Amino acid sequence: MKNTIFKKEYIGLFTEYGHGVDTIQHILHSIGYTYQNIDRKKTREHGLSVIEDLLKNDIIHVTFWGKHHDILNHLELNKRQTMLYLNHVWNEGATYMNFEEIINFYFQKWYLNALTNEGINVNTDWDWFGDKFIPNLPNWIDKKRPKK
Amino acid sequence: MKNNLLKFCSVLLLTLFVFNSCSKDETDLTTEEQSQIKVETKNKIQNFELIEKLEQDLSKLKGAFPVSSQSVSKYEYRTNPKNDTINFDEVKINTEVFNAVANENGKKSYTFKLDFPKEDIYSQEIINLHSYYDENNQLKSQLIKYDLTSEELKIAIENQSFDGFWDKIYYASVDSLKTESNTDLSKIARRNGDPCTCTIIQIPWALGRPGNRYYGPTGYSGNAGYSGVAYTLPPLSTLPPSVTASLQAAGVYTGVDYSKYRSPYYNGPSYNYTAPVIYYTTKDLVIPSSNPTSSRPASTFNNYYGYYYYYGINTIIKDYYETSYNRYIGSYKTTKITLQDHLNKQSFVNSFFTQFLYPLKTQNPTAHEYLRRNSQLLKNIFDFLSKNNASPYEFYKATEFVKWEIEFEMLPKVPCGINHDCVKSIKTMAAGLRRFHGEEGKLMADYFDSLVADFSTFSLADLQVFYDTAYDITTQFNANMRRAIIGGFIEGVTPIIEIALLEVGGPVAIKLLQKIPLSWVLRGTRLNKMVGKIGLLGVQGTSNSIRIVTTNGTPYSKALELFKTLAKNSQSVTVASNGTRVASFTNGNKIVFRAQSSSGFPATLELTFSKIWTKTRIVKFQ
Repeated sequence: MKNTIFKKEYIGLFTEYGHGVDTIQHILHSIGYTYQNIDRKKTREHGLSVIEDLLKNDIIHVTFWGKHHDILNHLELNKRQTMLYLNHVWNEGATYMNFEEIINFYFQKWYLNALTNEGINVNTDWDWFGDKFIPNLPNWIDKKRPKK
Repeated sequence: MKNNLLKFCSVLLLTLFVFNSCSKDETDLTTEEQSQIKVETKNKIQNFELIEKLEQDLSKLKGAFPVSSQSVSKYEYRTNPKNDTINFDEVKINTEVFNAVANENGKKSYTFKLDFPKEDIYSQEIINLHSYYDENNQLKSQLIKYDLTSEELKIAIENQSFDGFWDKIYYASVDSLKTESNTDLSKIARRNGDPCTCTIIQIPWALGRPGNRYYGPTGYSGNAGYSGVAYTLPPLSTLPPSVTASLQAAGVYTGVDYSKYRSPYYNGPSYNYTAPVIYYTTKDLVIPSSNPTSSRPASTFNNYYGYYYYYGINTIIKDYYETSYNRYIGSYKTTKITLQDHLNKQSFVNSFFTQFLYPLKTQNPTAHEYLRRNSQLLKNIFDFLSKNNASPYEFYKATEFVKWEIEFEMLPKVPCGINHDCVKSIKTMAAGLRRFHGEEGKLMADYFDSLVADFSTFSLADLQVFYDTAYDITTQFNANMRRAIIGGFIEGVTPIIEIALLEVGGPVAIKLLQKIPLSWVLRGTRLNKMVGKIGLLGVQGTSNSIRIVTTNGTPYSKALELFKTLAKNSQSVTVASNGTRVASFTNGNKIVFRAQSSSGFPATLELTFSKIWTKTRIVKFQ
């Protein structure tokens, strides 16, 4: 697996004690984008790629499907379908005023529980988390992720 | 020898510096305008009348000041044992650089350095030749001698006044100089005090201070039309009143107005302004009597009987008197006390005792008693009043403030309960905040008062927490006033929100937050400041943009109440289809309240204020 997201700089992506993953805006802030560049085409492309990786690693799941929530919430879209949908509803040029109602994510329960069991909490040394824990996350996920 | 006799004042040194850096062919070296008065530094005389006059003057000077054997230094005397007259050519008018001053009527006068033979090779005298047009438009000349040490000269320049040095400044009309040896200007200046038997006179009325009424044998007494040396050499404060007034109107510093230092409570001797006293000490300081009509007179600082009564007052006054604020190092340091310093400080000491401390004893004996026993408070108040003393009104306002501050300090230090009516104490704080701390103080006072009605529903513990917070907030307001910072509002808002979230119980927390008035969160600067502080609550998450607030219970309701408070002046509050509440403001600013349904934390406030932060600030409550 290509290690595209498991970087110290993206620390906010991997814990509730960071910007997190609630909306597209949270994810973009987690990977370093600010109000100034959040609406750019390249940002969108990068954001889509990061979300795809998070989904593939079973770190996040969709909690809210925007204006189509009532329908899509009852369908079990797979990751590829989810990305197709997201690609469709995330308009180019969308900014922080729009992200709230496009789509919402949150961490998978297994992921949060495993982090808690690992002792990650408000008192965690975030330098350690960024330097040591995140680079090892792919292996850790493989070990902790519930087997299908 | 001749060049060693004279020493320029710093102004002239500056002039020389400018001169040396310019071509000698230039006529004008520098020009400085003070309103209508124009000062030019020149190096070439183009006025033929002036050239002719200077030639006449030089001739007179050579005749009037032949150099006798007394004028030769010991060294030269030994090398030139002949007790005869030295070459008169040693007297020179330096025309290489000189000042031309045009007064408000355009009338010009000129000041030249004199290279003058004198007896003392180490003399630090400055002698200038000043040529001016008199009231009949006749060109006249006079000599002005400043027999000052370099340190004295420095003080005079710093003070922009020659006060204290009048008996070291000499004047002579060149036109009436006698060509006799006893008209030697240098001879009369000798420090060992030779009697004056010549035409040299002390500063006359027009150039001296009122009270120094010796006009001298030249009969010159000055008049309002005179526009001579006063613009270049003597202090501006000695100008004829009409000229002084016009200068003051033009914003020119004209020296010390001594009349304002005449205190009705001071019965000591008059100051001798002509005395060459440079520095003062606490020995010169007078402490006014508590009752000016009693037989008990004002006492000198060293003999003041009140030291035992007002704890620490001697140290407080001594520190104040002997130190001055040095703006270069940004702190107070011990300094030499000049006449002007002394008069300023004496004036304040008079005011402190007679307009504040003594009256307080009858106005509020309890406060007076508390103050006299509390040296730190006494010092704080003394320092505060000394810095708020620019006008009688300012001083009055400052005394009113410190009187309330004493009341504030006197509030019981015991916990809320039987011996301490904390609600009453909070009302005292509110009264002071409202009266002395401007609009922001009023906001806080209104808030305190709005809570007073509900205090009966507070538990004693919650009341104590709020009382302590209110006390800290009031202290902060007072501290800001001491540091001349307006307000203290935001510093006050933060602890209220903190105790609401972190310390008091849920119901009281809701009240504290609910009662925060709309005016605290008006869109714009006030809301931005408040949001800025909220964005610093709690502890940092993975970055400073993330704050984790651990409440003492009911995080959801506390966070929701805080959201409602902050959203009071929003343009709209909508509930998004994902359940989050979004308060929208102008410029795209927004505050989002996110509940657990869409986030792992019980409640989250997200602050999007692009002018404060580049990323959304997230405050997570647990």
